[in-house]
Amino acid sequence: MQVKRIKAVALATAAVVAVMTSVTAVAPANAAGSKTSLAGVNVVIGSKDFTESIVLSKIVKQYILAHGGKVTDKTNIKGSVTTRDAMTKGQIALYWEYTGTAWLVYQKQTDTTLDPNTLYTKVVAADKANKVTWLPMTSFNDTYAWAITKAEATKYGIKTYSDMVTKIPAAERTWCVESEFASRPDGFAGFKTAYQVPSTDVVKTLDTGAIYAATQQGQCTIGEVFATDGRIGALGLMVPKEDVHYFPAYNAAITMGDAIAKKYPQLVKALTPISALISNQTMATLNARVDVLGEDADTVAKSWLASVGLI
Amino acid sequence: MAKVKQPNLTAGSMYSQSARLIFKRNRSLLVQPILILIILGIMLTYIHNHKLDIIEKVTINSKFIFKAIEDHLVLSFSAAAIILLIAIPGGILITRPRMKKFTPIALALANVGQAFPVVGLLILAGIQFGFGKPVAIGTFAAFGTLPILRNTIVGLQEIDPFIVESAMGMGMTPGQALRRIELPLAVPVILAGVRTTLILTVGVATLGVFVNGGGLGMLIIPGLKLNRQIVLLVGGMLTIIVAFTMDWLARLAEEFLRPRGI
Repeated sequence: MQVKRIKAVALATAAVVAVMTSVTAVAPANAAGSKTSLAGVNVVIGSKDFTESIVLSKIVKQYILAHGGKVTDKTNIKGSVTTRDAMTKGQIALYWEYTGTAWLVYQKQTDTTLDPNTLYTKVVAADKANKVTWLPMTSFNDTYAWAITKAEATKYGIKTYSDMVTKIPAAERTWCVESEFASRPDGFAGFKTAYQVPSTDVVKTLDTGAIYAATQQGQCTIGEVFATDGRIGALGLMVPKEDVHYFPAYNAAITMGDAIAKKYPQLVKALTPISALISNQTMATLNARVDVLGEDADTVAKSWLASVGLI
Repeated sequence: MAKVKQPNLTAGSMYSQSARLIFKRNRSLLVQPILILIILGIMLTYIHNHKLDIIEKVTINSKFIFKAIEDHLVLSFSAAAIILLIAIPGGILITRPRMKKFTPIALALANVGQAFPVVGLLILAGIQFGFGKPVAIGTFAAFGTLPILRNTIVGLQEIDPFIVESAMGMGMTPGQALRRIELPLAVPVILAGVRTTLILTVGVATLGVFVNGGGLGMLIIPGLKLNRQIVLLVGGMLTIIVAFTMDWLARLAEEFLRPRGI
């Protein structure tokens, strides 16, 4: 325990120093964050049913609790659509949504070539009609990505997605994708066109979770993964660079009903600076602490908040 | 069943029934195909009146759908065939006097198979043996063995032992008694198990999508995840249609195979 606490304190100090020196824009927000009182705030917090969504919502939960508010924890709701419905119907006050998901799934748009900022602006504008308030988005982009083993990468000298198509011999190339990705236009079909993947390549449709292990084992040469998943590093996989822009942006942001935003303006103000602090690297680390090291999501959220000086 | 025919022990005439007679006697056999056609009609009208967007077009097209149905049939028929080949002979074998002590063990094993969470077992098996149809079929077979094994055992056990004894008394060997008396009498119960198994495998085959097995899950899962009702509904309705059709065929088989007059 002692060692852990010292480590945490050291980490926290280091992080605070880093944040204060490098990201000046964030520093005043941080200072405001630690002074804010959220007494009187009483909200139900939801999340989708995967680690990243849960961890992000736990960060909000622990933040509100630490500043004197009350929280009912309804994280881990099955399915994106169910979670969104729970929010728009007022059963939960807020949860983290991804720009790409809102755009394609709820707003039923099909243009996936937009850059992250334009996409965010359009999504926020379109959601006004649905009475949904979006807080600023994270800098991390949990988009689709391809993973290969580090051994493969070294063997064939793969640095980019194009390398995967040109350098790995066709006979050894097996793509593993999840059924959703296989059937959406911004998924595998479009990728194949953008990167000129031969139609003769072997494609397997697997469960999302199974792809990581199957790629590590070699049942899949190239596996479809999520960019911030903790298992990429833990299983010795790597994600080559996307050299032809193709995948849509999936930056996360807190979404809440307009009624809640109006009822608790102090909450909106206090939560606003959080997303800017979460980079791809941070998110992958937090995900890995839960998925790989088996830590409790609440603990991970709390210790991260402390490390950046928000509580 | 108003007229009871004279018992006739030659196998051929015992099973032969004219199709017309069966439909005449059992009008409910016509209800199912009508229901199937109605569901199919609703589905086609729904697709026809819906303007498909670019995401829906990827899955709602005849090439994709026929491939999904084909894969689904391969998955469920192969699993059902394996189950029949294992469970019916297995059920007969362990109800023979010398093997009776193994009945509880066999039932326990089949229970375990059904109690396993299928998705978890599928993925574990995939990681162990390689993702693809064989792993999916094997897992589904392990999952669906219980009802038919239990029905075969129960069907044979429920026969009045005096009937079998009389048969032996008439000079039949145990093998003859099994073929001519026990099995025909157990047919209704065994076939009820077959029908349950077919429906079960059609339903569970929708999970084949998780292990590179294909099938109608290729519509259901993306439909759910991408919030495209039409994709989900078409996948679901096709699964119902396939299940109903299989069940109907099994009911027909039941009508043809059920012994008359014993």
